[in-house]
Amino acid sequence: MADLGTASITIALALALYSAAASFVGVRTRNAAMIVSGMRANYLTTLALGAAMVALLLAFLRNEFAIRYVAEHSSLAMPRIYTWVAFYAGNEGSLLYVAFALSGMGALAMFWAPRRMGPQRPYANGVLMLILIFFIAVGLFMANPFQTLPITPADGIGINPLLTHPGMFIHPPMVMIGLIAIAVPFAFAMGGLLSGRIDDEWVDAGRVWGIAAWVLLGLGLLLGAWWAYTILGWGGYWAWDPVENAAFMPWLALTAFIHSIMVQKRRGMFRMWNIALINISFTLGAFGIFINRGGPVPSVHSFGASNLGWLFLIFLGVVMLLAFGLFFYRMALLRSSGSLESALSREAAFLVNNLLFLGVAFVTLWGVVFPIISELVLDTTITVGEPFYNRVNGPIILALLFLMAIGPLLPWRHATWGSVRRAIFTPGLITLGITAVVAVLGVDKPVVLIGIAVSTLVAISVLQEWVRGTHARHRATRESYPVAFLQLIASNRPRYGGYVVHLAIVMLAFGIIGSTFYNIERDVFLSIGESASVGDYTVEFAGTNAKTFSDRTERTATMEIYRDGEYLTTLEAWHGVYPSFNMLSTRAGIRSTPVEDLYIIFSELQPDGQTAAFRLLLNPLIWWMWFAGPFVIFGTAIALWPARQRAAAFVPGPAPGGPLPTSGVS
Amino acid sequence: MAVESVSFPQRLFVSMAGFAAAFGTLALLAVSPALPIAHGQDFIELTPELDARAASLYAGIMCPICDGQTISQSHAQISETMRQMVRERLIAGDSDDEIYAFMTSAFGEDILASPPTSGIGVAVWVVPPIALLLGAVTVAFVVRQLRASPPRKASANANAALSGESSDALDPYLGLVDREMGDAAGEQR
Repeated sequence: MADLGTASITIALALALYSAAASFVGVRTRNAAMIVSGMRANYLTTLALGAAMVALLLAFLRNEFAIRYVAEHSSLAMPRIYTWVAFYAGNEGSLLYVAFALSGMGALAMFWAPRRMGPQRPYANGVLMLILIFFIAVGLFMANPFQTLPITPADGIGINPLLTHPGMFIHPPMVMIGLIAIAVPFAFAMGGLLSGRIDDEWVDAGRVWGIAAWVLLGLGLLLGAWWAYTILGWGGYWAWDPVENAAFMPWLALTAFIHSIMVQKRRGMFRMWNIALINISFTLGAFGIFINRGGPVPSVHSFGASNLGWLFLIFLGVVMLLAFGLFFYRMALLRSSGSLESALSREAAFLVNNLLFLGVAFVTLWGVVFPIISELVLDTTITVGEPFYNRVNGPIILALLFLMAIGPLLPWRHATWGSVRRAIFTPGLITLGITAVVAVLGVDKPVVLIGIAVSTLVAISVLQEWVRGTHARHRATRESYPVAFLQLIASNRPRYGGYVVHLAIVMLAFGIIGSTFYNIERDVFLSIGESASVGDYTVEFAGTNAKTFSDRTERTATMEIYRDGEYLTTLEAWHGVYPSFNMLSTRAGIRSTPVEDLYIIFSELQPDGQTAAFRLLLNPLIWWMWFAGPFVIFGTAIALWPARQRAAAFVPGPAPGGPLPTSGVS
Repeated sequence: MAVESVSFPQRLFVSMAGFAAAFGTLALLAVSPALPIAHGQDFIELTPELDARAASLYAGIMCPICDGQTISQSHAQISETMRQMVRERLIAGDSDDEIYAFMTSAFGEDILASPPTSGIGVAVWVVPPIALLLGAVTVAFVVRQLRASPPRKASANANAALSGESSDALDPYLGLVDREMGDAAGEQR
């Protein structure tokens, strides 16, 4: 397997090199055949990397401990199902995975690229291949997962127990694929710049792949939060940890991009700005990968820990330099064709949206980078932790929520104050009512009331848009209400899909507000038979049992839950002690309801086996955060679903004015 | 080669760290939390009110040896000890500020999760609002600029985008809605 794997990666590198060269040379010399062959080399690269992936998977399944990576990340005792997790548990495997993911998406993107695209397509392919070459080369020369050991160990080291959780099957690959997916819209933008034909042709491909990267990364982050919540055992889901931030920043920039690109699609404006935004997004994405793969967090000193850090830093620098260099070189071509007619318009709202999203991204970047700077330059250690982010980003995010309520109500071009007033009147009234009820029910923190009011406003204004649109359509076409509603959504998928995602964001906001401001936390120490109270609940420690495995001792604490004196349910809080990793892994006992989660962490059992420390938490509304996930997927699917007439428009003949006869072939 | 196997744990840590860091778990790998802690009998239980204060204090104090985790999050032994210290001070009736001062005198300034509001820490707090303000000024400037400059002759492409696809402004149903609502702007379109 080792030879097969290394050979596959080598072939992939050669193919990617050829594909890049053929694309650039072909487009410069107007050699259509060469361009086509460059595209085909792109598809073959994916095949070769796929072969390497399969080889590594097989090596894991066959316990080929002669391969160092397999020996380091799996063992005979490891359940086979975790092979997929072990696959990317280290640098080498995850680099291979990242290269494969990039290559696969790149092949799809080129295959599906609008045929009317002229020279942008080979240029974009060339850029993609250059990025891919970097990852394959690093994988091959610096971190080859197929490197063999001189002797074959009888057993491997095994998998990190923290990773043996269902969330791990999708969360890490999702974040990694999301980060690297930004390369695709970036490549289309660069393709446009390089070809010098920077009309709006890269926009469709850029938008679709931008949204794809956005949803992958967003779901990856949400799954990470879910994993942290259920297994890390501190009752939270997001810690503003540097590495979380590193994945969060490109997501923010992408969010700005997928909004702003609509302005170019509809109105031909913000051309420069969209290129700048996708540059920023990709740079932040590369920074995210860099931080992920042996970057300088949490301290500059860990640079020495991995020789890959510097490589990624150089890659990051080169990407930034080239991307922005090209941007300034082509700036003259990027004049807007539309004009902003009013500061009270959707275009202007999108500008403010971009400002705020980049604001959050900047604050986050500042928080990540400042300790590094302060340590390097001033030799003072400063911690920038959760309170900073909450206090500075919190208000900006509130402002974003408010904008989310107002923005969709503003028409393109210009609105009048009267129309805005009319549009906001009903949702505003309902929101005030709901907020008043919530306040009467005992919610007295001003921040929370503002948060609830703004989120409600978003939800109601989205509902109002749906109701008004459906009603108007019903009146105009005599369609029944359900049909009218579906037709309304079909008539403008990006918009109505976006609304579904907005509703999901409202759910997230409720979950975050509830669990941040109204959580109750208690640390207790209980003997068997004793109980403690948290909120309305009484938790009784009923007993434990232990199971010993070859690699771990698992203990379960049985907790009987009473509410207001009445028996409710029995929860099991679990932890495992892994002597070989010197590690404690916990899995909380959780009773999750839309109102609140009761969350019990079994932290440790005294040697007498009778008393144990527990942390009891009540996290209100957190259920809504996980519930939002499917809505994000659903809304994105609506927004991305290809429109019938547009798909048809792509099919006919060669591109208008395209100098290259390559359009029909791929 | 023995050298290879010796470097295993180290390599394991390095490669795992890169990965695990992504999920904020570095500390769990770097420390040894599995050892039973002999605090049993000394464990201080707090009233619900004090526990609420304790929770917010834990979240404001970093674990000194686990990178990027507060003592609320970390399972490390030292975090348990520090939580216990916080509980002791709470029972003794200290205010939050006194407890922070006590903890920093014992473990150093950099255990505060929130950067200090004096010295170089000021920069952390001051720069974001300034940057945001500059951004806002830039946006305002761009808006003025875009409004002042006459539009370049719209390219065929942009025209197509406006007429060919169902732009919101031209969506007949929404237009109808606007008219129904007596929207003057809607009628001008």
